[in-house]
Amino acid sequence: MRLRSFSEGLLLPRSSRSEPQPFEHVPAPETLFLPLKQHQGAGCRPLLKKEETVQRGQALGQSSETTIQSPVTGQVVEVDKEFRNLYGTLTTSLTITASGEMEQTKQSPAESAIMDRILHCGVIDSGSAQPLLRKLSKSQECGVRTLIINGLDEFFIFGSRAALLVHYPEQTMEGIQILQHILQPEVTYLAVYEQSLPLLREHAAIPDSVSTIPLRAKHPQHKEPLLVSALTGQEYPLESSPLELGIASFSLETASTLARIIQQNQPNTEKPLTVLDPEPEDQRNLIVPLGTPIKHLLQYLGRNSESVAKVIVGGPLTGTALSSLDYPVTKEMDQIHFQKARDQIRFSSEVCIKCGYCVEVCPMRLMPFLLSGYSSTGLVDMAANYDIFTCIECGCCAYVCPVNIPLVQWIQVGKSRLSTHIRNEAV
Amino acid sequence: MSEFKLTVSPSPHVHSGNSLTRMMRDFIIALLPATIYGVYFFGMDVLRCVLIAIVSAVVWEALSQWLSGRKLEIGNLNTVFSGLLLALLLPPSLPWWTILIGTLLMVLLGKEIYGGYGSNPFNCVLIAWVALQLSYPDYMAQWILPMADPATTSTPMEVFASQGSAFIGEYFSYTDLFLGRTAGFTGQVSALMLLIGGSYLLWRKTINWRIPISYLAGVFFFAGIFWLLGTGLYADPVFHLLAGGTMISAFFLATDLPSSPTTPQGMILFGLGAGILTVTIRTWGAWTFGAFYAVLIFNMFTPFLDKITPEVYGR
Repeated sequence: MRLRSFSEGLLLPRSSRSEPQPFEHVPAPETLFLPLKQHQGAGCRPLLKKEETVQRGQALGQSSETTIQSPVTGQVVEVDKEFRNLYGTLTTSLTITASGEMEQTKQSPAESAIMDRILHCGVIDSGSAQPLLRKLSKSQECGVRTLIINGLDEFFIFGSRAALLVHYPEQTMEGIQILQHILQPEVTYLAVYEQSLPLLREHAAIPDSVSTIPLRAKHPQHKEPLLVSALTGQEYPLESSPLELGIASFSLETASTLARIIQQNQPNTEKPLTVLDPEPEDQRNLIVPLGTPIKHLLQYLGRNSESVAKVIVGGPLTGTALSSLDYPVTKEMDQIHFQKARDQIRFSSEVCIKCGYCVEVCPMRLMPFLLSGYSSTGLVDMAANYDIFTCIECGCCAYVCPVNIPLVQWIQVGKSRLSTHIRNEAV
Repeated sequence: MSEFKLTVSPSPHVHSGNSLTRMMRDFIIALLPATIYGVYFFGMDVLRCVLIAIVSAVVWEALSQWLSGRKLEIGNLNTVFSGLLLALLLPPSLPWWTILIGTLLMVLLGKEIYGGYGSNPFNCVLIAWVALQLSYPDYMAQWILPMADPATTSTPMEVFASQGSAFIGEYFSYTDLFLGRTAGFTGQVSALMLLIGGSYLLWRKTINWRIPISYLAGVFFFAGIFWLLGTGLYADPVFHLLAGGTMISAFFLATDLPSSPTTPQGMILFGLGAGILTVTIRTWGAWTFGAFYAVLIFNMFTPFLDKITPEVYGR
């Protein structure tokens, strides 16, 4: 069978393993930091004041779309109103010290309506970081014919999503069925890398209503536009949404979280993560309480924080570099990479040599060197002509560039200049 | 706050490790079989030519970058490669001062004047070659053929131009052309050695297959059509592939990064077009160096060919 894929992009590094690592549960630290905005959209309103006590699972903050729950029982010791999140926006953050007790708020059985439960547990669709409530109601409005469950990890063949499938197959399948129940799709696809397919057959009982589709392990296959085109053969302009084609995609982790909060009546306070252990350069799958500082994670791994030069949240090709080891694990994170000083790359200000490598790898079939060139010289209108907004910033172009031009950064600059320009025109 | 510092930088955070230096090293390695064979066949004159060209080119570039106050970029081996490539296009007996003029023009007019390698619209090696060809036509046509009677020291392409295709077979066999037992410049005599180098570049993925393959296809099929139409009048396609520098054009001149197109479709059209033009110039033109002029002329089409971009996702 010919595997579905796309012709550009990069092959993922081969995995030395034959199956994903089982999850390790990281114990909660004494002090946790919980920013009240861990998703796209408006941040949550704090519900607790300094020095109030809190139970595990209790809401710390809430908005109309989502909730942040406390991962531990303990006390609020600080309310920081000027916490800078991953994307540089200011938000409120609560600092909580754990008392060591595991008392949990009672989940009222009356709260059985699924949508209410999703709101009160603050489920976020991992990957897009959209509140699940919003995504589901939009999907219901538009009507979903094709439901896609994204079981592809970025960069790793056997990352946390593959691990959920192999090590928690029942929970994951239950979650997929919950999504099917809400959306009533005609077809459901479960996308996995081809390497996971034999493992799935061995471990998981996949319901008949779900067709498992193996895909070639390439970057950035996990991104929605490429997933949609590989599975359905359809493409959509990025300013619209696949919902217009009747297609909705959700992360596999979201399905698994749904099963945990609905079937098992658990709060949504932990996060499955793939972590690149810095010392032996090895990958580990962890389940981490939300709010755990990265520093604590390093301690858990038994690594010296001095040896870490860069902390990347997200995949190595698309992730954001953190400025502090005190930053906590949030719902937006899927992966954390610790990089040593000697592995850091340097970008240069050299001239583009027009080798065309970037054009060849661009999965959106853009002209990255032109977009970057026009953005860096201020000719943003030209960049717009070459569809700069179709760029998904997957990083393939900058990865292959022989003269190390920071193409993605220039494209980001171009996009932001254009957006300002467009906004000013509108005024 | 932690006392030590973390690096913050934009994505991506990993790199393929490919570099201009690595690519240029590959190009140089790929030219070594032909160069070594040239020294073996024509003698030390070739080595003299190569050394003068490389050293002078590097000196000119260093001087020009120093005078214009730019960063010294000779470390990326690009000029070493250009110097070597130019030397392989010259008659081995060319006077030393002509080579110096050639490399000066290559460095100055070929790339520095545009702002350095990458911004040059034309292949800098061909710029130098054309300048020498026009300025010193006599020197540029002094071929030697070791162990042969001086009367036959014409390149195969010259025999074809002056006497027609019927005589080619009398002077050269395909084996001679393939292995390199004819008069000419080092970069044309052995198709085999250049094929070895070209395959190495393709295997290392330093060059994209589209340009050399479509160029060779253009030469082969266009020559083939006329050969089939009028036997005897036109040279056969295999001769066109093996003689007149077709191989060095396909793998080393047409694939020059800044002056060739960047899009998949553009590359194919560039190769096909240059291939067809090569045969056209050789067959109906006064010049025997169709392969070089065709590539140089198609460099002018590159900005236009780059407008044929792939169809953007979802458009």
